[in-house]
Amino acid sequence: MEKQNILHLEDSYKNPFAHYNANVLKVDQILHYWCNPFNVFNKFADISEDDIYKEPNPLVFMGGRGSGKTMFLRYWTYEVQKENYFRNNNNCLDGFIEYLNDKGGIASYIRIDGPILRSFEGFNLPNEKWKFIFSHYFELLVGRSFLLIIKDLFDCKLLKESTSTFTEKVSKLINANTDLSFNDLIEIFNERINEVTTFRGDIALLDVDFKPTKSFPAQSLSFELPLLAKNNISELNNNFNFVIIIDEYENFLKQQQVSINTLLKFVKPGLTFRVGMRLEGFRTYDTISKDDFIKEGRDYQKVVLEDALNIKASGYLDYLKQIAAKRLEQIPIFRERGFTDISKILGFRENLEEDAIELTLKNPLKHFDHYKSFLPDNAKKKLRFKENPLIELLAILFITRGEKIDDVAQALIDYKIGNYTRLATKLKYDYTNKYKYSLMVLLTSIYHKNKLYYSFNTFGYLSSGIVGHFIELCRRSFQIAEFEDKNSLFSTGLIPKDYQAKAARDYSISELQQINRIEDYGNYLYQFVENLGNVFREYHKDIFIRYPETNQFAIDKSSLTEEPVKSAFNSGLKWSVIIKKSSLQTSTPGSGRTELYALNRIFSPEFQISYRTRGGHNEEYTTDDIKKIMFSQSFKPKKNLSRQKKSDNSDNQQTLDF
Amino acid sequence: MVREQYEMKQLEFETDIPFSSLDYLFIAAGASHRAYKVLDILERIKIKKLIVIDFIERRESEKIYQEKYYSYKNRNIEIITLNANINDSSGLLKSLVVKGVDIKRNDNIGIDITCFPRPFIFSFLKYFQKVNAISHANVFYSEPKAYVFKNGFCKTFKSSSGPIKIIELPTFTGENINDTDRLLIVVLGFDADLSKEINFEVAPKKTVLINGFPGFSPKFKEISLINNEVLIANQNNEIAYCKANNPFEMYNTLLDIYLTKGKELFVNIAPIGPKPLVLGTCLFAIHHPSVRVIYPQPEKYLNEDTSNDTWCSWYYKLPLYRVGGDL
Amino acid sequence: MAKTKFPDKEDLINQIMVTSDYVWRNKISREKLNSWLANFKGEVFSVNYEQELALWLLVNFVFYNENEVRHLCGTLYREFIHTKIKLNLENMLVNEKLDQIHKEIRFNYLGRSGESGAFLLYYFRKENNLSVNDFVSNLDNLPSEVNEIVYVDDVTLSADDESQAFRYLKKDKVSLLEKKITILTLIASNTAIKFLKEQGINVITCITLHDRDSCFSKESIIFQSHSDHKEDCKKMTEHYGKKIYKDPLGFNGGQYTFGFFYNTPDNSLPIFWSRNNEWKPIIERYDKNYGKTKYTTLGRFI
Repeated sequence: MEKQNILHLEDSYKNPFAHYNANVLKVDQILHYWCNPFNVFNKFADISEDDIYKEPNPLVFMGGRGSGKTMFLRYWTYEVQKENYFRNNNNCLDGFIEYLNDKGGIASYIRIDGPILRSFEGFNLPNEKWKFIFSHYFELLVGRSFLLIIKDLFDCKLLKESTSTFTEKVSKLINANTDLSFNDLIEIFNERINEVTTFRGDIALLDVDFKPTKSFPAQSLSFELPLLAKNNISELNNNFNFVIIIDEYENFLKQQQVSINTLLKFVKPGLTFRVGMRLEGFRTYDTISKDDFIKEGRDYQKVVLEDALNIKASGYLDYLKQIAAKRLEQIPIFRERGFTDISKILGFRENLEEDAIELTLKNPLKHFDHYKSFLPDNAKKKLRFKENPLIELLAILFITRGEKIDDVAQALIDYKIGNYTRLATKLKYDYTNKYKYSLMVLLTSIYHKNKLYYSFNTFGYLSSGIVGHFIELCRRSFQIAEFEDKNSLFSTGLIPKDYQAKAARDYSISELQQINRIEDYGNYLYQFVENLGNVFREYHKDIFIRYPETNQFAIDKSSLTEEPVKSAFNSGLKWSVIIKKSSLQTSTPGSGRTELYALNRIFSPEFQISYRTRGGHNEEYTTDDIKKIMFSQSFKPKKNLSRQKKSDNSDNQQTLDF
Repeated sequence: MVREQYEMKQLEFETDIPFSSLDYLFIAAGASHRAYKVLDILERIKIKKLIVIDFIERRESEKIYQEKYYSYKNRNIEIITLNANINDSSGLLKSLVVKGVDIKRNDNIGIDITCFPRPFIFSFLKYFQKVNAISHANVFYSEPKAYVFKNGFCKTFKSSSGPIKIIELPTFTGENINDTDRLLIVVLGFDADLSKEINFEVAPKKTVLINGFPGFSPKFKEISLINNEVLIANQNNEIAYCKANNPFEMYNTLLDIYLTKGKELFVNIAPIGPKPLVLGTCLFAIHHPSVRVIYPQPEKYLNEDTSNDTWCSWYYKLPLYRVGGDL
Repeated sequence: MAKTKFPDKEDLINQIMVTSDYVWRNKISREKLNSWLANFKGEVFSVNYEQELALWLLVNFVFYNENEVRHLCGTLYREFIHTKIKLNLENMLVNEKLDQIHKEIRFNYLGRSGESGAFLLYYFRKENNLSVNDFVSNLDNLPSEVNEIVYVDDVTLSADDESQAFRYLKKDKVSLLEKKITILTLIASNTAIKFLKEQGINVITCITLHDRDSCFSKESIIFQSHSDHKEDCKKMTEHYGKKIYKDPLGFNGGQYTFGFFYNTPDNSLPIFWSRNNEWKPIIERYDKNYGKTKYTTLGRFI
């Protein structure tokens, strides 16, 4: 019977990390998968949960695809909040209006997909005309969405009959008969929206004019309807806010953003916006007034989700663990056996010493041969440190940096027995705090193998604050583990590092290839990443590790004025191909302050480079350099990385940043 | 349900052709093996006007194959060549009359879709139906014998390059009056890049993937699934099948999905698979204007011949008006 | 001259992993794959090369899962109805015509009960929601209005008198008298279709196999690229094939590379399915027992 049960559990196995898209998650799924970042993080991006409804200024949430932005935004919508309240209130909506008043308001989610947005241009119609049509369309969408919420409150018997005044006034607003019900009003909104849809269809083949039953210019519904609601529905208190959540703002065309930017700028009390977009999602900051534009701080507050979820911030790994646990619990065999902690399944951290020993097993002295011309004949004997090939490699480096072999040999002995003489202390410090990771990357290069990227911690890093990346890394790891050794997966609940490393490598390659298909300047971005990745790879392969873990570059972004370089670079930020480093670090000790950027860490396995951040050398680029990196087939590192014996000693390394 | 008999023939000989003349035959110029196979078969049929769509982008990149590309000119027919931009079907169609292509209601129209970009198939047939009130179109298609994979490895297949933009096909905006959730139907092709973006853009509640099976060749049904692994891996997505060379089967499949799953949802179809299935999708969308058709428009179509030699050629008689209801 | 290089072994294995998981719905584990590859011991070429060739063949194998077989049954029926409707052009409404057709035909399995034809007929009925009355219960006692027997089978590949289809039909012909015979088969070779047509038997199929579908033929689609490896591959397949089956390239020299979820035809290369002489198969085949039942599945206590 037990065997049958086991078979049944195995038969019902499905990959716990099969895809999902937050847009398509149903309300109950959102609630199920939701992990409140306000509970997990000490301080989530300088805002509090109250701010979501109560902050009068628009909030702009920026994050890459898979950063959790959409799930975050959808959580605050009326539908999800209602369901949440219902479940937490013994399946009853009593007191829901008071709850909403207390929260500060309601939010309506608007997402207009890319194909629709792109249809508002072309066909020989001037942009100004399209702008008007789009604005009219947007007003109808927002108006309808608010109306649906109020109707729902009414249908749930949470509002008194005072809504009849409200419906009367709405009818007047849209030029309809005054004795209409909510359903009638919504029907009219639907028809008016359909007028736009019909026009969009007809204009492609016929020369038609857009002649709506009644046109709705900007603010005529989006601003007026909330005002009408507050003035005529007594249950809503004075501070009640109507929040419009616009998602995927980066898909809006430039002229469309001009219209919406104007709305953002002129929000009135009782109405505000929460906008979700990718980084650099603003195509323009212009408004309809030629001399006016929206400005961060003054007109909106920016929240960068990837910053908030950054690996540095406490809680990100916990956040990932929670997300993973919810998924693992859905799989009977994992649930039954308690395999729901992803950090245990993947292992918490890479074990570089173990990896090094495995790597060098078949040819333990190859790294000595690699440095033959720099080492005396007895080096192999004197510098042998069987327990840790990384220490051996470090010892070799000491020799190349001028230390005497006997001193180094003694330092190894001292290090081993815990007798920390000067050189042994330096050895220990340099190994632990400076070079361990670099040594591992270099060692794999010497042995012509790939560095293994595995473990929960590493996957957290590679995901670069984008939850979707983490989920995909896990999905692939589980897929490979199931193929390679299903029995072991089910019995031990562990995934060997080789399988994880393969998953990481495959996904890295796949993401790299996908850059080519990015809508804006994909081909330039691909070349950019290829070239830059190879530059960083050269640094990592440097046999003297002169510039350990170099994986960042500095550029004064404002100097990128030439097209298409400027737009392509912004597109790289928008699509999270290039990541801006959050703090203004000194680009290289001694130089002025510029902005630092790195490649998305997900590319690290493909280029065999470090995903960590450390101070020290960063490539410094000019506009011309960026141009070359984007448009030419190859690009060389700024520093000389030849195999000639190095003359300078770059010991001015900053501390490692975990 | 009203049932109609469909007409579909394999063309081996001219005796298979069920008409003796065409007022217009539309083809797209190309240098591939299959570009003018149908024209060869129709050699002894009286074609009053041959309308050749000459895509500027394709012409530029196929310069080395000029002789093959322009071999359509060696025919004893009145030929009208129309320059076109591969991403602007609307502009081309709106200028047809001015350029001497003035189609009348009773004209017998033929169109060889072999080298037509998929969006153009939709635009043309909709134009014939909506603007010219043509009752049926005679559609031709030549199958490839095989596809070219780099190193023989199917995952290398690419039909386009550069950035992709997901667009609504002109005139196929559909109707989503109540802003309902979406049902996405993807007609799978070999190029995985195309389908990946569609799911994100449309954000459907439900996705159905249609695999062309049986395919032109037995292994093709697996290649389309392997190459679209990302979509297949999603356990919430369903897979349906449809014979790859039969647009009428495709229509039936879509109708079945529409009636069983699409009732409360806004149906979106992405036709990136075999052209006969694209044709079936087009017919279905013409008959059901509430359906939206979306397409991943690439920056550049790859003009290297992704297919190798010609297999058989087909004729389809496409009824552009629906007779009776669906139930 | 150096031969073309196959895709990387790990890439091929990766594709097999994805294919068997998502496409075949018949997961091949690494263990099973290694076990199969271990059959290739380097008796013809180097072990590595033989395994590469074997992997190449496996990557090109076509497996029809249950959903696909069901779909084929549906397609087959619709193709049949389309053909019938097309041929009969009397002034009847389509729906009326359908009723008439079903009065005049009966479906039957090809071969013996217990064989794949009978198995498939069940799917055929279910998938097309056909009435049980549309099926033969007694071939010698058919209603008078029945003028066509429609046989259902999975594969029809042989194009000579040894064709199983032909042999079974000859037997049935005694009962069939002047009735029209049609075979509906999921897969048929073009030569088999031609042969049967010449015998007055109409064949309707979903998938027609041609010369290009035979693994080592001149037109082979499997070796469209890497054609320079075809002869080596054939040599290796024949070498191991001889040890494990009477026809080293499959029954009647089939050279096919396909199978169904319920069985693999012996026309496919034996290196995929044979269990003889300790050969480890990668795809299952259940042989027919033409002799006495052996009671091997009964236990100790009956």
